[in-house]
Amino acid sequence: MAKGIDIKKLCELAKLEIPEQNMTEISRKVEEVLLMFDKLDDFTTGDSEASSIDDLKLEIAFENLRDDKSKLDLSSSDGPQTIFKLKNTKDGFILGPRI
Amino acid sequence: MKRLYELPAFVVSRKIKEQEVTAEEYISIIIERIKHIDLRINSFISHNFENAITKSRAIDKKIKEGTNTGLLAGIPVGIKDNISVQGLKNTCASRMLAEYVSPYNATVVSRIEEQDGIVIGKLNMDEFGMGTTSEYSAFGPVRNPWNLEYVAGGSSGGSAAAVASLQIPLSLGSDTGGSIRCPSSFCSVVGIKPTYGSVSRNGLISYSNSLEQIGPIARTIYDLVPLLNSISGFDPKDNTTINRKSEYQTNNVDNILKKRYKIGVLNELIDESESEVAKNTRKKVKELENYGCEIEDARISLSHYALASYYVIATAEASSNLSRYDNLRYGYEGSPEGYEWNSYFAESRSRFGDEVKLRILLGSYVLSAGYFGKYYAKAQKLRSKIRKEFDNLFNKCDILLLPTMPVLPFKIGEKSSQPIEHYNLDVYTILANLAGIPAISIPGGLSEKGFPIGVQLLANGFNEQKLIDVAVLLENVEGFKTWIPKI
Amino acid sequence: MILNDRNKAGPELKIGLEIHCQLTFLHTKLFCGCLSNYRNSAPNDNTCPICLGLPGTLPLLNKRAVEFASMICLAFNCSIPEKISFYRKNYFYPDLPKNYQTTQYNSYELSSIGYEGSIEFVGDSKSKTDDLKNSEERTKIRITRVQLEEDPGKITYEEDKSAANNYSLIDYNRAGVSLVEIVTEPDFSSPIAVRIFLNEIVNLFEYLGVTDPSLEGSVRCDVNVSVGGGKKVEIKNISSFKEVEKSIYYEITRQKTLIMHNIDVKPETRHWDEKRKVTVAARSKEEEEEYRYFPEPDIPRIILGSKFVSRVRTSMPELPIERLKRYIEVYKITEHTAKILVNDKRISDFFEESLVYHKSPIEISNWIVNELLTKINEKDRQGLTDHNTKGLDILTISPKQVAEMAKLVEIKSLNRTTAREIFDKSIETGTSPLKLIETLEIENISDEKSIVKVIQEILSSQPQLIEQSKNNPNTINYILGLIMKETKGRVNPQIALRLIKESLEDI
Repeated sequence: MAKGIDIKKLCELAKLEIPEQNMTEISRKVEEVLLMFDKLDDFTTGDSEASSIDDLKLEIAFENLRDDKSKLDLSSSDGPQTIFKLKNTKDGFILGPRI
Repeated sequence: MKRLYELPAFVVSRKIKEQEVTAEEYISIIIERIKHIDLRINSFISHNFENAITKSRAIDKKIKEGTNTGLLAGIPVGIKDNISVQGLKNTCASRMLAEYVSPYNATVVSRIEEQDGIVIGKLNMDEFGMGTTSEYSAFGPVRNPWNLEYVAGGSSGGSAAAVASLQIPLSLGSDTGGSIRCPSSFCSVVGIKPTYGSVSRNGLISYSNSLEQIGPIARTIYDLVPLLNSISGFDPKDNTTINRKSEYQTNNVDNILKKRYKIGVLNELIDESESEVAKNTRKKVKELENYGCEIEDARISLSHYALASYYVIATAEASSNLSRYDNLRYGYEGSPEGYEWNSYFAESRSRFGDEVKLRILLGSYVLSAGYFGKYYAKAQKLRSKIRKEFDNLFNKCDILLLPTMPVLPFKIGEKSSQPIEHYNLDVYTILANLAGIPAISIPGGLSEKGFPIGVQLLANGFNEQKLIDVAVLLENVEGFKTWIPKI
Repeated sequence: MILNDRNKAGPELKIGLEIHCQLTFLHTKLFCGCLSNYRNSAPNDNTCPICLGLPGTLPLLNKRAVEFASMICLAFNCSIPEKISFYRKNYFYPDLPKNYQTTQYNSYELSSIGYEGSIEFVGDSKSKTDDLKNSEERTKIRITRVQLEEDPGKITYEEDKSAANNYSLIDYNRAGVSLVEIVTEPDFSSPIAVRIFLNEIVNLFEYLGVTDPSLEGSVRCDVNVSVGGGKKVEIKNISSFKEVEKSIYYEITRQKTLIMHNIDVKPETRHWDEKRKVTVAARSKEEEEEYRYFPEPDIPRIILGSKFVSRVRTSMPELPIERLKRYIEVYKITEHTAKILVNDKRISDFFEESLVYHKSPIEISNWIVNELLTKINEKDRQGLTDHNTKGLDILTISPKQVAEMAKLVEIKSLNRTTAREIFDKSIETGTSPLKLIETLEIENISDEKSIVKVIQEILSSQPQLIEQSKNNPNTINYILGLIMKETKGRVNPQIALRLIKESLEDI
């Protein structure tokens, strides 16, 4: 199952550049781990709730969401004050690559 | 007489409050100790010495003026380098964030400061928390204080090694699949992964959000509890924290024994571990039996699926969490000028280490079109089943006991090229993360060759008090001591 | 030529919409405390660690955003589930601070705030000449889902030609602003129906008070078009509703041409090139589908609870359809007039406000629909208004002035011609009609004594009329004409006629 995955396509999807000489090794590792993941195939729940998500996701009551108010200050008053500097700015804009 | 840096934090803090010693004197001794020792251990990535001294003076002033001080008055705390401290570099041991300075404090850091604790520096780790040995750091591996040729365990290797080598009394780590408990075991310190949702993750740089928690590391349970109390509790800045007041106590032995805890022993997993690990773990069972605790055999039937479930979820979440590192808004030196965006992103992101890249690729694969049901959904389903299995076990007993790690510490570089071999080391620790339950690793003595062994206790969600109680029992057994490496 | 083509498309033309509506009336962004109104900030000033996606930050969902989105759901007759959740849509793009978008997704569970709704609308008079065969026929559009998500930032360039730029400029002020996405089934069968629908829903958003559609980019629309049961093509990047219609026409022609030449229509995403008025192929669909959706682990599932829907419903402002019913049933306004009022919230609000000064719904509605709107339409045609809305504010007239006009006509029996003159003056100068009538001294002559005086003056200067009136009944009308001339039409003709008759009899 895990054999023969298209590692180049995967790298493109994940926006990762992997040097040509490392490709074989990383392919081997990916396949090795995916083989371990296949162990999940042996696991059947027996019940037929196949489509619904059965997870341990926490729940929060609507009432406990934050109010629509400003000033959620993440910085604290003590400690060294640093004004966060975005990198590569021009007239306040962030420099981006060509699209 | 013991030197100040050897003493438990709660003892020194009392001395500071009683003006037997100043916070500044203590901090200065600690700084000297770090400068002296850490060259060999490599547990720190960056220091906060100047600010720490300033802070200590402020605390001394408070005490002199008779103002109340907090639970951690004057105590230096080391912070794993994936937890944000305002104004300090926050590298996650990655070249990707080598120059990133956090503009805000993690909630846990603010809370430590509220209790007059002092941030002393940022601690080394596996890049983004992805590893079990602290070898995968852009700043070099953390060395085990018990033998510098050996791994310290990971990913919070710096947090455990710095405490074990008497550089600092307390530290924070984070635990996604054992990252606090594994190095605690390998270095012979106490480390707890709290219940999911009991400690704020605001400011913790996410690796796998649904699995991880921040937790304290200390040399004894008595030092660990004040830090746990400082950081726990609901945080409006983290919607996954639960509103539940938690004030933990270190009760005395007699009171604990009155609670008549039932201990479930995961014998199967003990049997599967290295013989010296198994032997020392059984010794702990015996000690609890001697206290009069009821001992039962317990079994987790799904533990063999846990690894796949864990790594599917962890890599899936990681692949998404680490997408933001594209070196546009922050990161390292370099400009996108002249680049086409795809190639800029790919080139920027090539700065990740190999293990991180591997996990991003795995996560991208399991989430890609058509595979969600096969991997992620199934892994989640298994996770609920494991949780249910734990629920059943905790109906019968209060505590589950097993080794923290199936093996003793090993040499740096020994297990580098086989991912599965690495991942297999996590089988005993990931169970608590999958189930969201609290787990603690406590020192379980030394092997014949002098390597630490850790014993792990699990309790049901929000039952940290039970873990603390049993840890108190084990620390009060005659002959127990805090094993300190000679360095 | 396109028009003819279109008629042949018939039932095989299927159009669906994806509407994005910014919740501009929220104070803060969807997941952080930065301002929802990003439009007045210097680049990247309206940002914080959360919306910049700095390491370690967590999303904090805005409660009011959930309420606003729920109001939209109810207006579209959608069901709202008891629990909602968020998903991550993973794709790299420089305008996304985290390189994923937090949104909702229904493939693995029912996560979205709204699902399976529908909305009906009537084609208005404008479409009579077009291919909506019966303009009064109600068109029903099914709504697939409504979801809450975050807006990305904005990318701009210094040079117009993209090739001339060595870099782009990114502004994240908009990143994290609340967006509601409304997805329709492909139930539209003509571009005109789309246009009418869009006007209708913009109006709806205004009634709900969730967004200000006059703000640029606050309501946006993607389109999917399939011709003759063929593959679905998505059109993105459409800047305004006018362009939506144009892009659909273009796409229909393009697809038909392909079919005519036996070339398969590819299922793809195309961008609308506003300058060249053509659609151009974007990334391939396959590539786009690799969004690697999975549940957002940092936002717990949100329990709305069983009372949530009824609570939102009671807190909701009056919807156009409800207002229409009230105008017809309570105010007895004709359906035609009521519709015109209701179709633009600001006109309808203007009407309501006028009623405060003078509670005469029929008279006031007539003044607004027959007089005021004609003036607005004239100005509209001169191109004085902007965006997707009509501009009441370009006229200086206030609801009070309109109320006064109605009052004058009703109470003081002002005749229409004079009233119009006053109204025009009032609009031009902004002066109150009551004041105008005083200063211009053209108030109606309504006291009978003055009218009788005028009649007697006429009869004494032309005594032959008394005789003529006995043989010729039309003489009375002639006399009325003279009175009108004399008084510049300021007398009420009915009263004058009665008084003429009385005067003649008395002699």
